[in-house]
Amino acid sequence: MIQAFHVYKQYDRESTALSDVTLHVPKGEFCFLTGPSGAGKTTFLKLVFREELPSQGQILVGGRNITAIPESQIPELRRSVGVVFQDFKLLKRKTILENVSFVPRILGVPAREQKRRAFSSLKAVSLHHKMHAFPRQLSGGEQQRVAIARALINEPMLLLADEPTGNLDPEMAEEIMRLFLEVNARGTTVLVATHDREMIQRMGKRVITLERGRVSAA
Amino acid sequence: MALFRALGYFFGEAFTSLWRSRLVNAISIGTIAVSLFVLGAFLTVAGNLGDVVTKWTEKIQIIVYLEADIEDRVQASLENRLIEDPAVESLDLVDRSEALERFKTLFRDLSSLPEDLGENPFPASYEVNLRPGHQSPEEVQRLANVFVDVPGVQEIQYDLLWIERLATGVRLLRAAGAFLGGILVLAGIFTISNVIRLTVYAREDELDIMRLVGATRAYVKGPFVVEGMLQGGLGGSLAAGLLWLTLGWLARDLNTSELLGRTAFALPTEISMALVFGGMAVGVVGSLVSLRRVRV
Repeated sequence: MIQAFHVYKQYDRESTALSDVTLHVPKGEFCFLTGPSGAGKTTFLKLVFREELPSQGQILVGGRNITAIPESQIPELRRSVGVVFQDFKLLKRKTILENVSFVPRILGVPAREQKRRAFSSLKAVSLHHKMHAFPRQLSGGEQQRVAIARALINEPMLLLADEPTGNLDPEMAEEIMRLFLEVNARGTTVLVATHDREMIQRMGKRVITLERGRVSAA
Repeated sequence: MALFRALGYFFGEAFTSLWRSRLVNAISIGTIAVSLFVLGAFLTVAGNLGDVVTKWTEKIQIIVYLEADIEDRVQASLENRLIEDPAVESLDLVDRSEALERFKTLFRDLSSLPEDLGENPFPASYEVNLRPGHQSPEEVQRLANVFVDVPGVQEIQYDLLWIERLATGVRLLRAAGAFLGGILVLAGIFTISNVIRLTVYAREDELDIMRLVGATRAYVKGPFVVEGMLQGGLGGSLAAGLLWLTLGWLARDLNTSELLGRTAFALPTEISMALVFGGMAVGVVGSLVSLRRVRV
């Protein structure tokens, strides 16, 4: 699902975020991307969903070379890849139903179908009963579940999560990981960037380790 | 259908944003309205005066004033000579009493003047209408030269030069209006551009999220372009409304003379439409200029 070949990312001469990163995440796998702060985990994820371009190297997602696609095709890529962020990134002025239905909306899906899919997605994360609430009215864990619902509404082939439990207490973190496992069980490839070693050990999944921008274990 | 849904989204978001920052948007709309009001006023007055000038030019007349004690046979001879001139299409005799009535109608405030003087000071005259094709300064000058010394003629008056000066004045007014209008339109674009940029900055987080979940640039930008268009359109509508009220007040309260008629202060529909649609265009351009400079 994700294939990276000799990927470098330099911001300037003194700042190299990634150095000669080559890795492979097969389809359907659940994988952790770990390392200390500044190791390059977030940078790598940003390259995978084309928020940034690598300085060198290539990255294939679903067999498609995303480093070569034109800017006009980036939205299409992002709709096929769900992303969950540490700070949730929900639209504060919209209800959680509107937040989740925004994704099918931009695809031109009819309003009724948007609501149906959004409701279904929220039900999968057990938040359908709060669909008219605003993000500020939810706890951190609930907001993260909404973000997951939004990331999954298009049934993406790949789910990326950048420190998804960084702002949550251990119980909430467990709940989120359980959701990820369920998603993975349904066939979605999951790549979670985290520095939570205890979580990684408990989950017992494959781990790719980055240190100072290089792959030290995979 | 997808296009209609997208447009529905753009308009919905635009209206919400307009309402949410209504004070800032009201100031922007007001600024546009003032700019377009001034531009519209220039265009209207210059356009209407131009129409009046055109009408006058088509009806160029020479007025041959008769001596007060002209004999009937001298007057008849003069009349025949005028009719026979190839440049003359028709004559209208205005006798002294009719001239007095015309004066009283045109200048109501001075209508008692002749009685105060004790006599009718107005001479009789022939209003000479020229044939089409002979309405030129040269023909007018020729006729004046031919008839100025004819017995019975006191004075010959022709208003061609004055009309030409007025036409030049109208052209200058139009040019000044176009120049000023250009500056005001730029000011309008600048205003809307800055308001939209402020809106974009205020919603930067929201726009980031939209991009990250796969919204196209068009989808992200669309609501802002529509918002700019609505601001400009509302400004243009306000300008047209104010202009209509102002011109209506001027036409009523200045008691416009019969010469100008009410046409000088009439607001043509085309100008109203131009202000509204021009405002919308200014809004769209302002938004696009702003959106080019920010990352969306």
